[in-house]
Amino acid sequence: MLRRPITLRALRLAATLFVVATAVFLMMRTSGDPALAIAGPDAEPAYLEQVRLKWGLDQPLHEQYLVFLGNAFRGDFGQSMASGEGAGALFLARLPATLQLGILSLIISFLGIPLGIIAALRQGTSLDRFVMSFAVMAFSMPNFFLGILFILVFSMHLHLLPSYGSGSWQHLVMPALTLGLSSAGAVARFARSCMLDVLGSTYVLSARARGIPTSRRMLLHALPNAAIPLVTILGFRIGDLVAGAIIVETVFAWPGIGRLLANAVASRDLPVVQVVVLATALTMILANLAVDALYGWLDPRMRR
Amino acid sequence: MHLLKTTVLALLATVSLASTGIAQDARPVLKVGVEQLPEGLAPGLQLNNVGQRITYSIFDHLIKRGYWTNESGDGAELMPSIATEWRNISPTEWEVDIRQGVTFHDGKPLTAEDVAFTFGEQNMWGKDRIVVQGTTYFGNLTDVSVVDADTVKFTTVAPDPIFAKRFTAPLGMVVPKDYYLEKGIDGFNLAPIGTGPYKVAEYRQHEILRLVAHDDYWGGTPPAKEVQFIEIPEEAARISALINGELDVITNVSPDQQATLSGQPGIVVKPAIIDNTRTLAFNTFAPPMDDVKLRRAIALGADRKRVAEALWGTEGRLPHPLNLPGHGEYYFADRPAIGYDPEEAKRLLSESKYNGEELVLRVLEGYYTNYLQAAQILQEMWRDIGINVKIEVRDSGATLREGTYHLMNASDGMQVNDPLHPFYTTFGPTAPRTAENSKNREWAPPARFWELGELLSTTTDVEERKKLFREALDIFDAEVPEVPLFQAVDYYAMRETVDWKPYSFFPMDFGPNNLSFKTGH
Amino acid sequence: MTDHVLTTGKVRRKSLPLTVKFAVATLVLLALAGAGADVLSPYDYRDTDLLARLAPPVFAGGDWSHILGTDEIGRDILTRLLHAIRASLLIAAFGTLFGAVIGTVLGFVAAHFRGWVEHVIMAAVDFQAAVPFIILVLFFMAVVGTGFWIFLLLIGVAGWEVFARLARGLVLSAREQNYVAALEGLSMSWPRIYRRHVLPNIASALIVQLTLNFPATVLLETGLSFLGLGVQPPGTSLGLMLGQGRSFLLQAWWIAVCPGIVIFLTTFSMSILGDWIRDRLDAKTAEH
Repeated sequence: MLRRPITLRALRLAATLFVVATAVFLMMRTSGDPALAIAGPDAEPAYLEQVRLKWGLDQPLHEQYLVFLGNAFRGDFGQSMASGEGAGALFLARLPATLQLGILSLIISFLGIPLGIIAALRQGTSLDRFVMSFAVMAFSMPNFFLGILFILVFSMHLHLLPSYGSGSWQHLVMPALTLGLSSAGAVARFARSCMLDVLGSTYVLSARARGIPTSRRMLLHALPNAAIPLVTILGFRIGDLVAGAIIVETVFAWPGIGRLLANAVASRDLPVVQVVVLATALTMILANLAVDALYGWLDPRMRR
Repeated sequence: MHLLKTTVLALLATVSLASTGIAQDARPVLKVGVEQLPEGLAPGLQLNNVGQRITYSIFDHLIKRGYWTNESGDGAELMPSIATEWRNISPTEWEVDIRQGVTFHDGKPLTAEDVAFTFGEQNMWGKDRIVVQGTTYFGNLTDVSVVDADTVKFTTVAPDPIFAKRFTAPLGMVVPKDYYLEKGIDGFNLAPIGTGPYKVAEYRQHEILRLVAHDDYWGGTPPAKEVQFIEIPEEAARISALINGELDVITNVSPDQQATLSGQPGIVVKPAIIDNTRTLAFNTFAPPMDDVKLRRAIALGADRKRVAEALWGTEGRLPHPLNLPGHGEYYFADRPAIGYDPEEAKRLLSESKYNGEELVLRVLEGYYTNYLQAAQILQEMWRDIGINVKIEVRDSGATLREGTYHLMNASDGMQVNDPLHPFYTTFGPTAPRTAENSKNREWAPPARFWELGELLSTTTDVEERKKLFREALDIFDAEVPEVPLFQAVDYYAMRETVDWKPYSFFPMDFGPNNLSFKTGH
Repeated sequence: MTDHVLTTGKVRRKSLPLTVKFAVATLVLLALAGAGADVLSPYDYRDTDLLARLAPPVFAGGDWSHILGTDEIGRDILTRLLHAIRASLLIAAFGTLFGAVIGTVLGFVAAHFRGWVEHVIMAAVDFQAAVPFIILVLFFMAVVGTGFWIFLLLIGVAGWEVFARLARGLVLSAREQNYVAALEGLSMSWPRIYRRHVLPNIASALIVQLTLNFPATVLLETGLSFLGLGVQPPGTSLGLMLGQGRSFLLQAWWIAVCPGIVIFLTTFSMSILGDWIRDRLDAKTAEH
């Protein structure tokens, strides 16, 4: 009985990846002539021809697509059209930096949960207002702006932290805060709202009426119910972090895959874009699967 | 035994102490923050400004332009480099003496064979040449051969007035034949070997390029132990890093920021007026741009001097795009660029076939500093005289020329200080803007224009060349295929203790000629 | 806060709290400012004044000819700001609403029909969540061309998946509730059940998401403008002003700070409003 959902899900995963790969291929190939992006706008026609021949850009679109698919199945994502390095190798080299940044940012954004819950429990008080103001300020700040402000304040004026790059924990602080704070704000608000919903529900109120002590009420009745919609939103946080990484890594010159993607898109470097997007897609889908599973576990009514 | 052991230990200690003394390198590490690193380092592939900036430290030209011979970094004299002497032994033959005792970064000696290969048929100008764009600079060679261990003979198809100057262009850098062929140009692009003052130690795409000193450099001991080029796309981060002491030099400081930086203690800002003009090219294949009256009206209706002054301050210069002071004796001071005359512009406009339709101006995001700002200002000026221009910003070279466009951002660079550059390179038979087989052809010059280019390439008499050049400029001025906007000015900021000057073109020279450190670094 | 269940059932009408009044007033003011941009602007938004580049605002050393100062090519910031507010609010409002409606409807459809319908819809959600939005925008811009309305449509497409997932989850939960089963037993039609009973119950979560999405949309537009993919010059938006102004934070901070403050005020007000609406809807729900 449990096997059908899993195979269905696996199929859905494969189907999504396939669609993503195809969509990215189409988008990259039809949005201008990649040869011009690789060779530069001042390149001679003869050189452009050479670039096209080298990368098979002169072949009809469907043939290019089949070649690409065939290679992808064998795990060969080709070489970067800009530098000639292996696309897969480039990706793997940059991955650890983004993972570092991503995990820390995710932890920072999770801090929003206890903040939101506290605010809900102390609804209406100045603590509630303070936490919520902070949350709103955090997510209303565009991440590149926050990042630049951080650099100006902590690097240029206070000389406390380095302005760019990676290598030590000091390098990690500002990028992680920039990426994570805005998420933390959104999570805090949502956590508060979910908690309030649950606190006002008949389920919890009747527990209160039955005389169940506050702490037990919170733990066994309120939190699990609040967790359900909260879990859904957390899945999206990862997506936001990936999107945010593109900008934050550029601002802080952080050597991760967000920057790799930004450069690759500008140069229409299809193999590199493919690798990054497919890997991101896979992560997102797996994360959502995990969320679904968590969902099912939290809400027994969901289990079929 | 005890005595022996002590003696041995003492001896070892002395030796290790002494060797640390020898190995101890008091030279500093130079950290340079750049906006963008090139995708590769092979001279044959990296012809744009981000590449030229760096390859200069890794390779040597056969003959160098003497940028360092004067204070402003625009010295034009030809200086010996890998070539120590060059002689014109017959109208079409040249003999070049090769410097002895030069070693490549892998320790192998440079031979005449390497020079002959670099500029030979296989690499540079043959039918199946490795460097596709080689014929633009060396297409007039018909034979390059080794005479003896320190001489190479070059044969040209016709007398060549700029033979030696050609080698000062980026393609004039010498590569090691065996290693180059073994790696292929793509492999060489990622792991190059040259004769320059610094060699590649580490290269991480779009992140960092680490060069370490090549102590056997023929030109002298490199002044830095290591030169690091670090890519930091965000200007605020670059500036902050310099002020913070994390970097020694930064590039691409925008003109508005240089005032802020100059005020900082311990920081010095130096401008480099580059021999490169930012222009607005007309796509004459997109009606109504085929009407020369309209083109002239657009040119006359733009007060580019005011724009240049507003955006670049006193540094803003407005040269004729083809007629540059760097041309030396071939520079005609009596031929300025087209001026500003709104009344004449309106008159021409009414006579032209322009009917108020929208003209599309394409700008490549972030490529030319301040270009978008200039375009927006000009857009208003044109609006005032009745020309309706729409600006379209493109994020990538791939889409820059897609669809219909009438005006295009462009630049003309003087890669070699001779009237042929940029006249015959930017508007010649192999150039993307004018070549017959170019997908993005924007102007079809009159036949005489290219005829003049051919003549100019094969005439050696200076007065005759001046006449030919004047005629070419006449045609250009009559046709108005583009309008110059401003001369490129690059600002570099550095710590006071770094004694380095930028040149009037893209290369950054960190060799012994141009770099030293003051006390306190 | 409101223990309606435990009172006699009389609904106590509370007067609008001060913060909510402030929020509503701010939003209305911004909307009016944007709508009246052409009328209220002292200059044309494209007029350049090369002699007055980077002029400071009147309260920071400038003069009354440019109340909020000028930008790097001498355009009046107040004028640019009013037009930017119009552009950004339009984009955000339309985008959020479009995404919310489409997403919620699809979420309902997925939760109701389950089976392969749900899988297809969820697969579409996965796809959108999996592909970085920058690529989707790039493709559209490249093929269809840059344009205000194209960009608007894209922003609408950006947000639907959040609503779809949320709505689906909440509807699935709601369907398991006893009252829904009871209503179904009473032969009430599903659309009616959804509209009159389920939707009000889950409305608060959706509304909160809406108030979260609106500023997120503003920020999406900001980010895309930073990358050069948003509103195109010489047009302007809050994101574009912020993006262009970031280079001048040291010497002409007003170019970036003015739109920055507007973005903050919009977000803040939207959030306060959202919270209050949620509280009111909760009170209504509790009456059932």
